[in-house]
This record gives sequence, structure tokens and C-alpha cells, in this order.
Amino acid sequence: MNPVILYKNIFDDDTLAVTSTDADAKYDKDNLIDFRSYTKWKASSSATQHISVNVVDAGFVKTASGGFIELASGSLLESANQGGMAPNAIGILNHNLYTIGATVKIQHSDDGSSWVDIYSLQVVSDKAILKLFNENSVSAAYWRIEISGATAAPEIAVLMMGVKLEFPYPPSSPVIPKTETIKLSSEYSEGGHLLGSIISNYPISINHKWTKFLRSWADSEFVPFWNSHGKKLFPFFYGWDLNTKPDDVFYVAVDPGSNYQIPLSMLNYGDELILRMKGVSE
Amino acid sequence: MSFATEQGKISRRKIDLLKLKMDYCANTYGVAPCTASGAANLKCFNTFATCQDTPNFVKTTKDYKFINYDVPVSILNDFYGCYPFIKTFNDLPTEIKEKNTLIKRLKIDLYDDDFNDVNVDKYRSERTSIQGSFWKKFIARNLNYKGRIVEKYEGYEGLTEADFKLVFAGAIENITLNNGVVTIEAVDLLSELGKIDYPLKTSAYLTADLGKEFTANSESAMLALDALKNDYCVRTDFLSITNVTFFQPDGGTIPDGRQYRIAIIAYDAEGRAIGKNEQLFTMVNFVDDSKQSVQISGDNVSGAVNYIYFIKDEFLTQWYSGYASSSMGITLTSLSGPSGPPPVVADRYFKLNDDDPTNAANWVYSNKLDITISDASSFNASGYIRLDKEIIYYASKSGNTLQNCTRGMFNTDRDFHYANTVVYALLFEAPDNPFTLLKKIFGFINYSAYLDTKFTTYETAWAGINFSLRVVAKDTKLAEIYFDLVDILDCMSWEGEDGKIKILKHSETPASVATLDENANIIGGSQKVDLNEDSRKTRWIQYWNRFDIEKGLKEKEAYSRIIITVDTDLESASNYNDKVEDLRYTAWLNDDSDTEADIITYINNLLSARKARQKSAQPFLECEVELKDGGIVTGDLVDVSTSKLQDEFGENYSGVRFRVIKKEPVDRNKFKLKLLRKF
Repeated sequence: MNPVILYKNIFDDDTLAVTSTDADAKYDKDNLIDFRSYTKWKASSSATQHISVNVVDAGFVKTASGGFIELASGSLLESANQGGMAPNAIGILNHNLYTIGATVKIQHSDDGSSWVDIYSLQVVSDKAILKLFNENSVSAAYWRIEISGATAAPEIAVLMMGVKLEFPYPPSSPVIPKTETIKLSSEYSEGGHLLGSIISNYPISINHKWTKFLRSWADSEFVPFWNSHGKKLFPFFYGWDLNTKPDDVFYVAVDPGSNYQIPLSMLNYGDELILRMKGVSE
Repeated sequence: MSFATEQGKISRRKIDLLKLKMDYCANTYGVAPCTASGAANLKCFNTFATCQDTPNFVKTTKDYKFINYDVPVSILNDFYGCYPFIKTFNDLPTEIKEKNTLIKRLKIDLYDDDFNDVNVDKYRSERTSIQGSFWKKFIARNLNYKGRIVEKYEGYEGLTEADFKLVFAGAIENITLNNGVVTIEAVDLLSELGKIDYPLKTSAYLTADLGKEFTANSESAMLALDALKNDYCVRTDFLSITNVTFFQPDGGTIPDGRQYRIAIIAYDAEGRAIGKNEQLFTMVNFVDDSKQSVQISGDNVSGAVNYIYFIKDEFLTQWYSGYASSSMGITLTSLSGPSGPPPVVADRYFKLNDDDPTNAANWVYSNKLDITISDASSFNASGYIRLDKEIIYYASKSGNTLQNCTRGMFNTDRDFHYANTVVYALLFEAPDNPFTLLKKIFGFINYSAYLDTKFTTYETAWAGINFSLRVVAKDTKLAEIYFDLVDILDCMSWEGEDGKIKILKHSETPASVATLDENANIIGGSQKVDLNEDSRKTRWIQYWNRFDIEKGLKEKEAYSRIIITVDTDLESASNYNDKVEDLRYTAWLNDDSDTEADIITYINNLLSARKARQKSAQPFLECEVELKDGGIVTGDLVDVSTSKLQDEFGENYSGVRFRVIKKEPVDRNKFKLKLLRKF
């Protein structure tokens, strides 16, 4: 599968609501959308929890036939803007959903009362999640995550759901999914013996390159990401091949040392795009 | 899992925690007792700087916790609520010196970040918008950050916060911001002693003017004074006890056939001597038993409530106490005592109640002087104060009133003092256990909780002489007074890695001593030797018995006694051929501290101990050790085996004893130790 970035987030909205929050003031629903891996929302109990958002203003009209309203006269009135949103990717970071045995579903609604399941998330670990859904681009005014069946209160540091940015094809060969290093300090005695090591963390870096891609794709997909998110060093979810490597999900930011450039020498195509990302191994 | 176990592993993940303990109001905005009222969006932030009802501010403490910026998420979860802002530490560690100690400083660099006020702003949900960065808002809300406590802890992955070790406790000195990085500078608690001016400036002040005080030896002298209304005069002339007669009834044990000097002193209700009659009286034989009584009668003195009789015969130099009586008539049947001599001057206290000092009627006999100040709660039950340049003794206190004051102590001028004059407290310590006195000094700065338990251990075990402190009137720092006492006890004092203020005798040897060698401990290429020639001495000098309160603690003219020990062998032409003094002063040993013989013995023993330590130069050895040896702390003794020093036979030092006088963290995984050879 082609690499995917998730950076848009419909939950980043004033209407973000949660069923409950732990009484400890360190937890807050706003922590879900602050991009920080070290601040969390935590529910007050293991009861079923919803994290919901209303993505349109009042006046949304869902048309019966998908785009037109049939008037009493028989004329068809095309709805100018169907409104709603059609997210197709979800990212979750630093959570305990696997440990607590939670069942996670994505649901949508047109009125905020009647909910329809659209995706059931298979949680196989507490590591970062990046999943794609809603292949049919269903649009709705209300979206929510339902967490049920948990044995303890769920907690999540980063929750993102939005429209994915998909690259046109895999990175150029050879693909190095990630480079992981060890940040540590070691000391040796006068006699040459290892005295000890202090390990700080395992930084990861990802350098992927694409060549000969449509300029129209770059203009409509990548440049908006770069301008609004990438060059501002906001973190995002990245999966380089979610089909064959579903666990290779990274929460990264653009490497500050990156140079952004798209050489153009062939009509309609960009010659080359290099995306350097860095993060920390979980 | 324990701290020591984790520290000793060959590979582990180290974690630093930082706590800032900031003031925080316990009230809720607008809820009694808080009377603030305002738009929800403009509520306070529960800090004094943002308080809208400061009289009702209820001070508690809120901990802000920080952790290393580069720890993985799993560790962040274990320490949830700690902000991962710590970038680097820069430790400027303490260093124990022979005299005095270098204070410890800590600089912490922390990252700044946009912050949504979760867990900081109680009224966050009521604000119309939230913006700003963590540190810029923190500073704006906590303008009184200076002096607030900083604590640094170290631990390892897998340990809980309770297992972490406190490695620094100090007070914030300054915060700087520079391109998204905040630097907090803190100094250790011992440094606070160095900031406290002595005499101790208190927040108390005179609530009313205090008039000048004169002395006069007669009424005419008093009427001639250039005094103003509300001034005072101490009359030293006695009222005369008139018409005194003596009679010798039988039945006493006072030898007859001798001449006696009898002094009758009249005292007022406050115990001041106001009247006197002193005369010779010859006891003659009336009966064969050669022992009789003396019956004395005379006129009562106006204002007297008590009479004490002193008697001494022609063969004795010692006065004997008479009988305290409420009336002049008394019969002395024996010589009981002995006692001190009778007072030679009266203590009659007058206050000028009007503008004309020449009119005797305006001078009113007055009670002993009481001085009322704004707040006497932090003052001892009795002691000395300073107003401008005058030192005043008070015998007791009641509420905010210092009672039974004696002015012009230590020959200071008894001048006029305006209302609102600041009151300075003076230390004056009666002879006592020196470790009790050390602990008292920390009571002045409310840091008693940070004292190591060894202060109490030494206090309990102390069986030596008492120490005392006479009034020190010259401006100095409390640290100088503290380290004077530490030094004369042949101790060292510093702030330890555990944040406790330490005390340790030079002579103390622990039951077990760590070892350092070049295979298992000392990091390659890290050793450096300094032979420290300046540490060698040939004569040791100690000044004591401070009598001049106006001079500084290190001015030899302030002292009347000196003891010197000279090692002539060291000074000989065949040896070092020089004279190098170790010169010290102490304000804590005075001739009223204990018996003179015991004090001299103590000082001689002290000088012998210093000589044993300093007659040879004490080399420094610097080396670095890995974190696994982090259990070695400042003040510890270590036995070192090193190839960098050899004896006269060319043998490498093996198990030679040093003391750790400085331990400096380097990076996050090693320490630089400065070791001083211990003889």
C-alpha cells in the first residue's frame, strides 16, 4: 500500500465532547488534540465512553439521493454544500486500549442521536495506531469513537481522525522503513573495563523519497500539508505500508534540518520529493 | 528494585525529576473567605501576584514537576503529570574547605512550550481563550518566585517516584529566558545564612518614640539635664534610710566582740535599689556565750516594698546575705550566705512628663522601662535588641512588649529613637551545648527541617565544655557566626547531595569506607593531582574571649586571649625553613562559657588535631567515576589505589585514605570527585 500521512483532525473542534474525565486535574479532553504524547485524557471509569464531535454548523441537510433535494413541485434543488465531513483515517497514540481489552468503534450520525457503526478498530497492542476506513467516503455531521468492554478506564494521549494524505506510490527503492539509533553514554575504567551505560532513548529517523509524481498531486495534497503542518513541525502519523506492515506506524515530525524542494523539469511531473522525519521509538 | 540496585546495573535508563514548590492559594475565587468578585474570564490564578483579595490569601504550596525532555513515552506515562521540559543541568557543587564551605549552585535549562493550563488554572473552563507559553505565564503569575524551593531528584526506569533520591534542595535565585529556553538558577539552603545580615533585621518596629535616657547622681543634676518631654533619667543616688538603730538581744549565733559593717538596701516593687543605709556597728559582750543577735529598726523608705540586709565582719572579706523583709524592722540572728556585696549605686527611674526639666514635679518616678514593638513573636523570651546604635537588654516579654529593659548595654549611647525605628535582634547565647546552639541558628531562618540528623546525634553525645556567644554588634552575616562555631568544633558543614545540611567532625571515621581503584572505578584518563602546598602549616593560632562587641569577628583586637602551638621542627632550617600560620578566631569561647582550665585544655587539643592534619601538605586527587559509584557522596572517606601518586619507595598508592570534598555531576552518567588526602 502507498504511504499515508494523517495530519488533519476533525476532533480539533470546539464541539469536542467526552462522556467522562478522570477527576485528577492532570487529565483533560483538550489533551487529546494538543499533539503532545505526554498529556492525556482519561475516563473516570471503565463504562462505555464516547469521544464525539459535531463538524458542521446548524442547517446541515443530508440529501436523500446524494446531492439534490426534490421539491414539492418536482424540481430538483441541488444542495450547494452537503456539509459534513468524511474522515477516512484514524490515529491513536500512547493509549492503554489493548491492555484494558477495549472494543473500539467509529460511528457517525446526522443528528447526534442515531449513530451508525462504520468501522470496528482491531487493537492488537498499546502502540501507535493508524488505520484507514470509510472507503465509500460517507459524509456526516457527527462523528464519534466508542470505547466499550474495557476492564479499566481508557486513556489516550493523541487522537486524530481526518482525511488521509496518501502518496501516489511507495517510496523509491531501496526503502529503509526507519533508522533507529541509541542515545546513550558509556564509560570505561583506566583498566579498560566497561563501567556502565546510561540509555536515554532510541531516536528514529525516516528518509523517504518519491520521484516523478504528478505536480497536481503535489499541489493539491502535499503542499497544503507542508504549509499548514510539516514546516511548522507539528507531529503527524505516518505509515509507509499499512497493508503489509500495519505495525509500522510512527508519530513523527518533519526533521528541522530538512530542505523542502520539488525540482520541476518534466511537464506535469515533479522530479523528486524527499521527506525526512524524526521521532522516538515507543 | 531499589535505587542502589538500579544504579549499580551495567546498563540502565536514568531519570531526573525537578520540583518547583510555588505558593498557591487554597481558596476558590469568590467563595468565602475569598471576597474577590469579577468576570469569570478575569479570575485570579491562585497566586499572590494575580490575587484580587490579598488579605484573604491562604498560602499553601503547589508542586510543579518536570522530567527530562528525551525520555520515552513509557516513562512519561509512569510519571504522568511531569512536564518533559528538562534540557540540561549545570551543577556547581559544594566544596568542603578547611575553613568555610563553598555553597552549591544549580542551573537548570528547561524548554518552553505552548501550554493549555490544564492542571494549573482552576478556572480554565471559564476563560474565553487560553494562550501563551508555559514559562512566560508561570513567571507572570509567580512574580515572587525568588526564594522558593527547588528540589532535584534522581532515579531510574522501573523505580517509583518514592524511590528517587533527593540530590539538591535550594532556593530559586533567578530565572532567565533565552530563545525558548528558560534557565533557573538556585543556590543551596546554606547560602541563605550568607544572605542574612547580622544583627538580624526583623520586620518589627517601635510603635512609639523612645526618649533619651540620662544618668544623674543627684536631684540637682537631674534638674539641670538638657532633657525633653518623655526622656528618662536614672538616679544613682540612694534615698536615705533614716533613724537606724541597733540593739543586741540574746539568742543569736553572730559572734560578738567584733565590728560589723551592715548595709540595709530598700527595694521598690520592681526590685530596684532605691534606698540605703550603711554603717559600722560594734557588737559588745553582754552575755558569756559570745554570740548574740542584732536588732535593726529605722524609718521606712517611701516606695520601698522590700529590705535586704548585708552584713560583713572585720575579719571577713565576704558579705553575707541578710533577711529579705517587707519592713525595716528585723532581727538578724545568724550570718547566712554568702552573697555578693550590696549595690553601690541606686537604680531610681524617672520620666519627664512635661517640657520643663528644671521642675522636680515634672520628673515622675517610673516603672521599669517596657518597650512595645509591632511584633515580638519571633523574639526570644529575653535577650538583646538594637535600635539605631543602642543595644538594649530585655528581661522578659509579654505579647509585643519587651519588659524590664536596660538601656545602653555595652556602653552604647542611650539616644532618642523615633517610632517606626526598625528593631534588630541580637544573638546572645548563654553557655550551652554547642550543637544545641548550632541548631538554634537554623531556627532563625526556619530551615530546621533540612538539618541532617547528625546534629542531634552530636548534641546528645556531647559531654564537653559549654560554648557561649557574647553580643555581636558589628554588622556581619549570620553565615560567619555559624561557621565560626562549626570551625571551633573542628567540624565541617555543607549541604549534602540529599538536600540536607550536614555536620561532620574531622575526626570521625565511619565503620566502612568505600574503595576506588583504576580497574573497577576510576574512568580512564580522568585523574589529576595537585600537591596543594598551601594546605601545609607550621604554627596554629587560636584567638578567643571576645570582649569588644563593636569589632568584627575576625579582628584580633576584639579578643583578649590567644593560644599558639608551634612545631619548631617544621620551621627549622633543615626542614621547611618557613613559618606558615593557621590563624583563627572564635566568638564562641569566652571566659564565661566554662572554666578557664577546661577551655584551655579544649583549645590545646583542638590545635593538636589541626596540627596532625595540616603539618604536611594534603594533596588533591581529582578523578571521574561512573554512575554506579554515585553512592559515594561529599564528606565520605574513600580508600584509593592509584598509579598517579607513589610513596618514597616508588610504590603506587594502595588503599590510601582521602576525603571527598567535592562531587560534581558530569553529563548524566558520571561524577568528578575532588579528593583531599586525609592524614
